[in-house]
Amino acid sequence: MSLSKIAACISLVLLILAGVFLINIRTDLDLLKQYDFDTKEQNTSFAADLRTGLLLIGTGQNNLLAYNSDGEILWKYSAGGIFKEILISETSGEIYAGNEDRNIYVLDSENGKLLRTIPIRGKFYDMDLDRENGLLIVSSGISAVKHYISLIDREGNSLWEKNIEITSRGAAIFQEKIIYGTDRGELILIDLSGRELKKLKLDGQVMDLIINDEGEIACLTDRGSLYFTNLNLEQSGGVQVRGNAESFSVLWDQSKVFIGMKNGSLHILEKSGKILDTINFPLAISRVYVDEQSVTVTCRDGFLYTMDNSDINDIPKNKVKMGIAVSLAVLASIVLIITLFFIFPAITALFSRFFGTLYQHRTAYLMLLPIFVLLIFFHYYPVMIAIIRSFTDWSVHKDTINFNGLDNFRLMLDEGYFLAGLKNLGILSGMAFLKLFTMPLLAAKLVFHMRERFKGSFRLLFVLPMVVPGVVVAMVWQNIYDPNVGLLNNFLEILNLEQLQQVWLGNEKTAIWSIIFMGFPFVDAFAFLVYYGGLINISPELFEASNLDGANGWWNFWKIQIPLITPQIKMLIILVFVGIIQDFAPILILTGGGPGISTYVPGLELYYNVTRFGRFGYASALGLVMFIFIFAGTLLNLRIKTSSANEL
Amino acid sequence: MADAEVIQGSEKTELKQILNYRRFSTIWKKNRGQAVLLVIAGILLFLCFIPMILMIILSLKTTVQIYGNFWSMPSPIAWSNYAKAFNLLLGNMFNSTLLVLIAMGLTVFLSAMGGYVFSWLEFPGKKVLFIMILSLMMVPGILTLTPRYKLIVDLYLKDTWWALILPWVSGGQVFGILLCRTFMAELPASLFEAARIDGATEWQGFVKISVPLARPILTTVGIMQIIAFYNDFIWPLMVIDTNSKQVITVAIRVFQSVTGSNDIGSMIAGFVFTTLPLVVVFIFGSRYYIEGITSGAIKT
Repeated sequence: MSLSKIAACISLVLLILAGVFLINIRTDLDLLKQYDFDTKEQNTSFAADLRTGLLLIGTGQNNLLAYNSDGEILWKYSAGGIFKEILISETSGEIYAGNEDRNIYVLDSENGKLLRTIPIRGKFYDMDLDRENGLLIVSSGISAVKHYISLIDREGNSLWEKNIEITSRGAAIFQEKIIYGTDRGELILIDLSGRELKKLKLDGQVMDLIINDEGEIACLTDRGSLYFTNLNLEQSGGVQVRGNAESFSVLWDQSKVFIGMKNGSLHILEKSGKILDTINFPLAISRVYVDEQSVTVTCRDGFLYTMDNSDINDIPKNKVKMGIAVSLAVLASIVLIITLFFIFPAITALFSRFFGTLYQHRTAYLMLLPIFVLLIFFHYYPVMIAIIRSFTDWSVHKDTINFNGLDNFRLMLDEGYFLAGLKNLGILSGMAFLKLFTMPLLAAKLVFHMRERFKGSFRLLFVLPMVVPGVVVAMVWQNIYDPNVGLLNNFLEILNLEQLQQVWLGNEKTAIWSIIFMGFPFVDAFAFLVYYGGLINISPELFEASNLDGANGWWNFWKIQIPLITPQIKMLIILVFVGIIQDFAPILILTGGGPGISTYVPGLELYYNVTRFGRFGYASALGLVMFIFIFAGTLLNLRIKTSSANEL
Repeated sequence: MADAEVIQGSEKTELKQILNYRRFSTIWKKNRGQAVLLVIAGILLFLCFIPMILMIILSLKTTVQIYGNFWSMPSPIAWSNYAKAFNLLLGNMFNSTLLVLIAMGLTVFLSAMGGYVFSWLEFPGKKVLFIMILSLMMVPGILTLTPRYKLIVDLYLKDTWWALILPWVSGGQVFGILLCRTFMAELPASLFEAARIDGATEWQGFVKISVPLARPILTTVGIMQIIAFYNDFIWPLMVIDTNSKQVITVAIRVFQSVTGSNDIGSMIAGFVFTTLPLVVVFIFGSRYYIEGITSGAIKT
């Protein structure tokens, strides 16, 4: 006993030591200093003047704020749009600030006075300043096909501009060479006169690009690939991170790369591609800025996060130290727990009983483990999220998720798409039931009454159309409805019924009925088999008895067969109901909900909200409502089943 | 026939005619019902097969032939349609086949395992865990579509095959476990007891007894899953962006919009090509599928 007490004491001391050690290691967030001022706005761009210690922050609230290194605000300049890029000209002490209001403002760094305004064509995207000759290259655009690269001299006169007909988010100038990247994933080199010299194809949209003093180019794409090339666009290296990259910077003399992501992660990498560290910020990173002294990061909040360049080399060392401390702590905790068991026998008994049970039935639990791991990830967790987030404004366009009560459900009633979809869903499900109760049952009855030698082959033939995939069925029917080469219009033509010819899927009146008519003559293989299975499982003696009583086939059908296949009918009703609410794929293929919203269904509305609009909260709410419909329908169906069973 | 021998000459032939007529009419009377049944069933079948017949005919015609005379038979037969469809869709067909087989194998394995555990093993929490699985039958895919899509994006699985395999298997196993459990529970208990007495472990009971005996239901589960996975359209459309990674059902849609009305023959040949794997499955597996459904194993 005393031995275990000593062990417990020693491990406790070790644990405390490890804790102290851990606290003393500078963790990622300690490496990061946060300036103790808050712009209370969304920071979008940043630049620092090392000589004067001036910090310039552009914000989403259309302000350009200047702070000194103590965090005191010096001056503020407001414009009509977001400041996207700030450059400081060390030679002249001028600040160039590109703004989305179609202007570049040149300000005096001393007092923030406007020196001059350079108007540009279209929305500002990016610019770069050749500090030797004062030439400014600007990328700006009006639309995806009207985008201009312009060269502007020191006085603000445009030397030339060139419509490159594709958005460019990054442009740079160095020693009479201009480089810009496009949304088509090209890096293009032009000379000072605007003549294209060379082109390099990259893997995705170019998000940003920079050139260092030695003429090395670094270029980031939205796929998270960073390319290094020389001035002739010959690739010299590259790194890759996962996710959507937003901004990056390179610390050339230390060969370190910093990539800021839209999800708020800052990746610190070696130029060789090895990831040294990842720091997670609460919000999307808007800008990563590197100068000779420090790395500065702005997120979409009001703070500035900064890191001394000298500390960056400590990151790997810190990782090792951290590893030692953590393993020490883990070891000490294990020893402590074991000794505690010896000291307190009651805990030991409890634990041994729990683990004993687990161990005794280990086969069962181990076999269930993969099943439940999958279910937790892809079923239980999504169900939980779907229900909770139905009441939030969850969306791709926002970094935070806030509860908004019943807004999503109110939106369903207000927007009208859902209600229009519901009306169509009513028509579709009514017709689906009508189809279900007639044709497959008729086919099953026909095969059921056939002689033994025909049964097998006819049964097989009725099931055979099942081999055509649903997508192909939908597309073949799309072809059948084709106004020019479709079977339907051609058939009407040989019947001399040209006046009935239609653009079946393009007409608001006929589109929904064309979707309903798809699959004619509606002998669904599955329903057919279920009906057939129900019929053959009825004991033949029942028919013999009723035939002796003088019953005819019709009576047998209504009074014996239908009641006895009720379970199958109920099951099919549930399946068809669940299926018609959920399966919007044929509609997506045939009409996409149109023309207008004449074939819209709620499932389609959900799909569009997830994939096109990114309104996840609203889509979850739609899913929840559809789930409630399905649930209510199923319960109702089960209730009817029990009551009719009682009557029998 | 004894009467017939006495009668002579022309009367004989007359009688023969009468007898023939009688024989015919009795055959007719006896088979009238069947004939009507067969005719109706035949018409119904013909209507069912119109899209398939149309598909095969159009796939062998050139665009000029289709626009020229819609009702003409393909002549000369345009095999080049198939060559074009084959060339453009082969990679996607490979993806589909591979993915469906992997997902099907995993689903059948997990279903068999779950079915065995819930039918033959006793352990604390069995009831709760089983109800948890059973309750998933009430959860429609549409409810979980949004969070599952976001999960795939957040896990960086978007545009990878994991985004298809994992959710497919997870969803497929639920129904599979329930089917397998019902089937396996009906296996004779004496088999498992004998094995246990002989010193077999629970795992051996699963591998050596349950799986071989449950082969029919496992085949049924496998075939149902192949059909379900192969037909999936919306989910691959959402989570796979790169066309070279895409499954055939989505790729054929892309192929359709590319060829469009310029090359209807090739487009339809692509439809036929997309159908072929399920034809193969049908040839080998229709028996299991039909028996699985008609035997009443599937009831709510």
